[in-house]
Amino acid sequence: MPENIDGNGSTDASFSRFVSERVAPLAKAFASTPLAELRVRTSEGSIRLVKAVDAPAPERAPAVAKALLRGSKQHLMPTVESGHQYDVISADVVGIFSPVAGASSAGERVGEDTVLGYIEALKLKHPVRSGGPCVLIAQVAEDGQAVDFGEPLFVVDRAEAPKAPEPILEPLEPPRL
Amino acid sequence: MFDKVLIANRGEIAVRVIRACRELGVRTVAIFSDAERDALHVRLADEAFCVGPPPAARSYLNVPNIISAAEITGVDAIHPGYGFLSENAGFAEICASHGFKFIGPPAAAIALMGDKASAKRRMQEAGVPVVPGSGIIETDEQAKRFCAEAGYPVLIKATAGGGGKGMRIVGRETDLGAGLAAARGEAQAAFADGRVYIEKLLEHPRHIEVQVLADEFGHVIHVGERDCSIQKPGHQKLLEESPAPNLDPEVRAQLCAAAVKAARAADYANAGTLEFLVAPDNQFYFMEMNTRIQVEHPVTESVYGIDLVRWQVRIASGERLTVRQEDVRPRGHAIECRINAEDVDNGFRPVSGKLGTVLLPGGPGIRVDTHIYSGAEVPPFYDSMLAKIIAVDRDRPSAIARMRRALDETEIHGVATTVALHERILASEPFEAGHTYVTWLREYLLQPAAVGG
Repeated sequence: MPENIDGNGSTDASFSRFVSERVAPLAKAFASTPLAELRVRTSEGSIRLVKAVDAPAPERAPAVAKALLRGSKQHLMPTVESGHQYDVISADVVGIFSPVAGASSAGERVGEDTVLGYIEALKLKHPVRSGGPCVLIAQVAEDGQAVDFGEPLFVVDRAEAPKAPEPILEPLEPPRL
Repeated sequence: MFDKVLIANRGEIAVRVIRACRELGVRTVAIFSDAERDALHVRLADEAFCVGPPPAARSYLNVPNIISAAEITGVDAIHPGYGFLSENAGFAEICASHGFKFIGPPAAAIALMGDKASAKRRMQEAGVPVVPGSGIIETDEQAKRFCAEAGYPVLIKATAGGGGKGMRIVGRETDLGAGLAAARGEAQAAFADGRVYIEKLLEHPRHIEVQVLADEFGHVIHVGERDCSIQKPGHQKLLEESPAPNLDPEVRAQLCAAAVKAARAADYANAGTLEFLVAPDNQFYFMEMNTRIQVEHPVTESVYGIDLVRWQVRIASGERLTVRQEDVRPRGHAIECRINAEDVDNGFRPVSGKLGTVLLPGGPGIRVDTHIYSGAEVPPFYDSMLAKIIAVDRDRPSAIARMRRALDETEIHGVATTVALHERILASEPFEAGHTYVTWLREYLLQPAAVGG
């Protein structure tokens, strides 16, 4: 559950209505996600929800990534340590996975639209793309493995790659009436 | 016999098919969506493949992923269950072209009977009575002429329809234009096909359907009838029974004979159902054919002692249907209650969520087909049926008593269900007397809740 809710201190009636009507359902939805932090901005106001997290022992990146994979297969799994976000590239079709030989190895920087592997389904090869610049942390599916939908194929670190522009959620601003 | 079968479905019917396959020594492959990793059918199958995210259009209807899963696992055949891809002739063809036997009728029979207009035409040619209908409506003028001739009230239906979508009742000529527009719009939205036709609306008809089984060598039998007149608003069945109460034996014989004739006329194979409307004057009319196994098939299995799903697999694998018509005899009476996760008082709104304790009934003469268990998730993406309770006993009054006992034992916590509604229906005088018809429940629910125990 959210530990703290940061409003912007406004005490007027519309803001308290916003808090009473909108925050509770938002907090409930947020609690069921794996996200550690959520910022929402609407015309009525902005809030930031932060989850209380048991601080995990720092680990080497691939180990952390593998540990993350054991739970449900989420496409985006933020961690609380040092701002790293490991992204899992997973299968979106059912088929036989094969990595691109020598395309990249762990620790390597991968470009914008690099093909990391293929999934062969119904005699067609579907490319598995990097989906943006990133650093390859690990290949977690094996060559020739039958993969189903959502099966993790690669773990990448997008935080070390050139930064994408920040989402337009900041800064927190006062509610508009 | 097949070595391995993929079940392209979910829920209780996937469980039912897996059970039939295992009894035949056939290995099973389940498919599931991202929302159903812990579903019972996934647990019971020998192998399971996630084929997509929760929405059915991207998982249980995701043909490329399903066929790919079938190729990877090396199955011989695909059982479509009901709903989803079961009455999709294109899917049956794709299965065949990839070398998988589709456990159901030939694609041509699905296509013929799936189009209501062509189905009716073929039935008329075969001498099976059909409800007076207009054919596809091109102009409002044509609609007006038909209705004036057939007499109001009339029912506007979508050519591609099903499940009550695109249906409109029109009671008088001044409402016809608006009814046509509404039905066309709804049909276009639901089926991407806005064509509609008009039928004369029968007053107080019963829905009685006949189960047929046919092998691929031309042997066709019927396995008796089911009365499915207890329907929710929107023409969705809620309670089914066999035999149909108070049905004249001669009419029953005519219905069953018509069903066999209809199946032959459609070059049918495998299990199928012919749906008829039976008017109070005992006139009956072909409505449509369901070219698949149906939800309510256990009622027939219980009364006739014939395992319809096992026969589906055996027939598809090329076996001959060894049951002769003269060996098909009813024994006793069976009733099925569909237990849905629905808020009855709120227009049968489907509900979802995590189930608490689930206690399902048992004991003599009770069968429960379900996929739920204590703590299971009811996802919001699929149909709301949780379980089917089937009671069988020597006659109708004792089957009703047995069902009431079973419903009383049933406990499903965490979501609203139709259990209490079934108790009300079973205790009502018209049901006990067997005097119900397709709109009876809708009318009954509008009465003050004074009826029942």
